[in-house]
Amino acid sequence: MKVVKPDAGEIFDIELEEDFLRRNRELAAENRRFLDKYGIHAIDVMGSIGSGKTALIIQLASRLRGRHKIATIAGDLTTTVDAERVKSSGASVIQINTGKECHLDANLVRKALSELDLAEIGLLFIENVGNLICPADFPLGSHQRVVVVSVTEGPYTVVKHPFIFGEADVTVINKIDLCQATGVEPEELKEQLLRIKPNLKVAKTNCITGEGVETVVESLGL
Amino acid sequence: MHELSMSQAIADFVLEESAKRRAQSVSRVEIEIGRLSFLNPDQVEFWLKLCFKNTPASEAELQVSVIEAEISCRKCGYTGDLKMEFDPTYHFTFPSFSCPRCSSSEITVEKGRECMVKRIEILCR
Repeated sequence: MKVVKPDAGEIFDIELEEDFLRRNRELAAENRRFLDKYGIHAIDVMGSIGSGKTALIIQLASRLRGRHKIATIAGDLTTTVDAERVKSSGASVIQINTGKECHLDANLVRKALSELDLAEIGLLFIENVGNLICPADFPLGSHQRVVVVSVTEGPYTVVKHPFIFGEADVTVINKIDLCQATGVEPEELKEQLLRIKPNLKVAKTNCITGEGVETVVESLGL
Repeated sequence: MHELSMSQAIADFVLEESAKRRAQSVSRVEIEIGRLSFLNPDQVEFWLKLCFKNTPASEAELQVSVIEAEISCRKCGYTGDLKMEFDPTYHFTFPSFSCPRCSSSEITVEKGRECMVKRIEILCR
């Protein structure tokens, strides 16, 4: 192959230093200032597909609706199934369909915020797309991050995904009623979690019956 | 995990910046990716090559390097590596989000979350 070499004067070295993840973090910081202006406390709920994120939000919303005005942003690839479920608990809901993206980002949340009547909200749940990997790279501007992990995911979910648990303020170990059937010991998951983040608050729940949800409420200080 | 969308954003940015400077072609692109991000440097390089196909950057030499994690402790002032723990049960090394010196969890991640277009080299005539 013939290679044409340019003269030295024709090459320009350009320092750009453009950080694409930082852009999201800056937008997240803007979201936070915006939420604070309206006195809204926002909680990002993350976890695997089917771990119980929606079930947890429904439990929390039904318990807290006497104390707080609650809204939910439900992130999902396509359907409004989760949004409809949460609506039944009395919280107002905005759906974000990400299409093919595997996580919510600060920009999508900002758009969703513009659809909500912010003066009417005190507590906002943001349900992320079911995924233990990508959401860790994309803070949304929430005040607290919760990760839901269920015993049906097997004994290795926590050790395999340390980064997302390192990001969390509270981790909920869900489906504890199934621990015998799955052979997963919730206490072992808790030990693994505390090795990753010693000050992590951990609650064990059954989000169908509501068992343990009060501990989540306390851990979040709601 | 989101390497394709990230690479597409990087490619768009690089091509925009070089067009602004009336570049004929882009000869080199340097990318830095933080150890704590969920971006696989090999995959970013793979997607970038595809994104640059049939563009002025199609012949660009790509350099994708990794920025190691660095934390600072708000309690004791430590700055440096993140603490890694080895779990013999799983033969697995995982990071512990606590200070390696005083074990406090009051840490700030200073480095390791980047996905940066550090510099580009363009040809102008």
